[in-house]
Amino acid sequence: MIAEFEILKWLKGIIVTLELTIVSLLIGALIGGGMSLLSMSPKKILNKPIDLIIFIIKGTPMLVQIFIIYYGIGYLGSSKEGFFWNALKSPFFCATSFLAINSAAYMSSLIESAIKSIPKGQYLSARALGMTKFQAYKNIIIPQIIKAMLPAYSNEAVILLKSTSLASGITLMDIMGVANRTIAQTYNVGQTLIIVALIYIILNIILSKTIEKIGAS
Amino acid sequence: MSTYKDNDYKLEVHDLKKSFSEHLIFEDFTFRLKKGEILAVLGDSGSGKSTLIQCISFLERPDTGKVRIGDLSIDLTNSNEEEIGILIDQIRLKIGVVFQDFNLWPHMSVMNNLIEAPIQVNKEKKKNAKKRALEFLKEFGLEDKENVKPNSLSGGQKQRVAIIRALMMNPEVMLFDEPTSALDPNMVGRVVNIIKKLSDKDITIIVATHEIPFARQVADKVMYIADKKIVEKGYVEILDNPKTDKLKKFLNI
Ligand SMILES: Nc1ncnc2c1ncn2[C@@H]1O[C@H](COP(=O)(O)OP(=O)(O)OP(=O)(O)O)[C@@H](O)[C@H]1O
Ligand SMILES: [Mg+2]
Repeated sequence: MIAEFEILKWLKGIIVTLELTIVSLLIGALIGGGMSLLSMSPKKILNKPIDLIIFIIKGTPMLVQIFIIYYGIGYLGSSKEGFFWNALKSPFFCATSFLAINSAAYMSSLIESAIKSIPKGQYLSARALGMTKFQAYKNIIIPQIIKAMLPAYSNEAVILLKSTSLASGITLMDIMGVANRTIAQTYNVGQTLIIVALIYIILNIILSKTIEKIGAS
Repeated sequence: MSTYKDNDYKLEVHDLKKSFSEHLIFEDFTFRLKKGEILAVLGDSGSGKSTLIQCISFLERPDTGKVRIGDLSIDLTNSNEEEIGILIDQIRLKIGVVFQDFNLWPHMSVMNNLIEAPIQVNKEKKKNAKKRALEFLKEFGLEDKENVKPNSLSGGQKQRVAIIRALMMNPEVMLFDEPTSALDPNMVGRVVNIIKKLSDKDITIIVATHEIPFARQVADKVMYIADKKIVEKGYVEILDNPKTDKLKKFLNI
């Protein structure tokens, strides 16, 4: 009975961690794609703010960022009620926005260098053969961009999965949250943390293999 | 009375001018070629040879002037934007370009490099495109390379794949940018033969090069460009009897 409850508790933690990872990776890739396009724009009004945001995100500790988002927005919204403000105050929302923005900042540089690594001639030869702009991007350019950034993307996904553990700092019951509570209840520090480390390693192996598989197809 | 009707000429370039922002690259470029003729465009590095090729294929937009291939004519000065856009799409289908560094697509096999455009652009059946590609690969001695990626090919092999890729679209005109620059000197003869064979099939050809011996071997006509202008043009024999000091200097006479 107790053992069953224990396993259920850890499973729930794993699910929260996976949710945080996957949602943030997807949103982060979208935002990162947009940011990379803006930061490559020749217009200063577009590229400068993006570069500044990336600079700030890369230059500050993640723990500080997540506290700023959670307590900052929590402070702003403390007096307000309603669906919108409640969503903003929810730890899950704060954690995913924090993770997504972080991942977007790193991804944006990744995407940018992947785009720059494709020579212009690749596009020109497609156009010379009569392809439309759309066909050239879809068949020739984007597949090469994805291929060029896949190893780094997989690396970024692993870092992101590990960073989800910071969400426990704002009361989320992810793997680390479950671990913290278990330690508080049992004082079994060593054993619990070894279990946690093993779970993260296994999840990371599965994650990078999955991305590899998606990339190969 | 003129000896030629317009239609005797397959390709006509009239008064073509190109600048990048305020920087003039060339102007007053006028020349014409008959079906199957080979023109070598000679000029120093930076003289605008690649830019000319990109303007004729409309990968770069010329400022003003006219380009005609067969009965399809684009007049940049007198047509509206919409019309020009449609005509550019059509004229590209008549032109094959073989780039200096070939620009094969590294993420696709040789076969897919060859059949991608016919399938996407001409909606050709995959089976049919493959069959034609295999015939070309045989003709060019590459039948065993169908399934490899371009990066495992030698320079000469890459070039032949690039030529086949262009031929798959049945071009009437082919443009070669520095076709000898990425090759071993002992491969030059082979390129000359390939280009001459294409011209025997009635494809009209422009070759940009700065190698005089190669131009002499391959070309029917030559055109020397310098200082943003055509300095001399005519049959290849003009290289034996240059009129201008500029061409004399270029030829080291
Ligand atoms: N996209 C561009 N934007 C601005 N300037 C350009 C561009 N492409 C070419 N130029 C300029 O146009 C001039 C002609 O370049 P082009 O590449 O056509 O010369 P080329 O004769 O082919 O030289 P090479 O023998 O070195 O290949 C050069 O001064 C080059 O710097
Ligand atoms: Mg050039």
